[in-house]
Amino acid sequence: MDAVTAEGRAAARLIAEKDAMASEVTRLLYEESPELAVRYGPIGRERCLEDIRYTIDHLIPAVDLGRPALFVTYVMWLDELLRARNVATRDVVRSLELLEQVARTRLATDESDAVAASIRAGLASLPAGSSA
Amino acid sequence: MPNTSSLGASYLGAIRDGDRRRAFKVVEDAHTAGLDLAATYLDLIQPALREIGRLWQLNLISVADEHLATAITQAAMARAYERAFAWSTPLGRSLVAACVDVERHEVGLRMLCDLLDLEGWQTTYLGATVPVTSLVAMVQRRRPDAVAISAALSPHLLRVRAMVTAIREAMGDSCPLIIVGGRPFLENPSLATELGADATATNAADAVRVLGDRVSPVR
Repeated sequence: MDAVTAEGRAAARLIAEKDAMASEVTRLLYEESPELAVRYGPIGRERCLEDIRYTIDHLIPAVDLGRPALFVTYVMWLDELLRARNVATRDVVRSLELLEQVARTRLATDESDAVAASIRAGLASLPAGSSA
Repeated sequence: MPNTSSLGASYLGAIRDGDRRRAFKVVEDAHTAGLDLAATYLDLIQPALREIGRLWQLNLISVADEHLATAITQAAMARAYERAFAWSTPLGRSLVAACVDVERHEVGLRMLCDLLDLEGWQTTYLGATVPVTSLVAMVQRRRPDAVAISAALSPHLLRVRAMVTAIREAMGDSCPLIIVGGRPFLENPSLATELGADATATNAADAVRVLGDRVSPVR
């Protein structure tokens, strides 16, 4: 991992703060949409936290290697997987948006720009205007 | 001419149902129909396993179903290998093969080693989840002509880089050829050299060709 480039530093921060960031995204997601607790139940929240950790695992190499396409492949795979388990695409979209937001509060500007590049590529790969 | 797509559908059906004997029968039928080991692995078994992965993704089969399909496949591959086996003349070429330390998908690596074995390579198959230091020690001990490293998921790519770096540091000028493979490399072949490896290949048969071209036959 390059300690000098924005990509390398961003990836190192994601690794170090993965659990804290995943917890924060989950908290924010459930705070803004309390109906998620009803729709997905307590197990749903646990799974959400796990999924976001797994998402960060996939964000790390895309950011470090400067290859948003790696994250896009993952997001498309995740969306299909979650839809098959009755998780709506819009919840995936929102969790990615919140992940970018949380990254912005924790990382330096150039580092969060590197993270945003991959997250936005991922978001762009999901069905447009995903409110379904 | 063996009907590969019909055999493939039968094989998929068998492993999806968790029916070991039926899977063995299909592989035996494939052999009788004239399918060689590479075709059995790459045209019959590999697409079926990919489909199993997809079925799990789509929540049509469980994790246990997938584990069973993989376990049956490993047994079926061993039988197919046994049937294909002949005491080939040793080429005097050797390879150490490992999955990165976080990687559990080892079937592709096993396919590579089996096909290399048939060509006369001496292979050291270490399988899944091999710690970096342990692989380096094995490479130092065996001094192979080549090392093959496998990673199925993009989070494992940084482990590939760490493994390649460690091997190069340990071996210096005597470093073996390093070939990497797995799904992320299929989609992005340029990743291989970016991570410090010498080569990649699209499947086990392609890897056998690449290794044959790149590794000098004279020891």
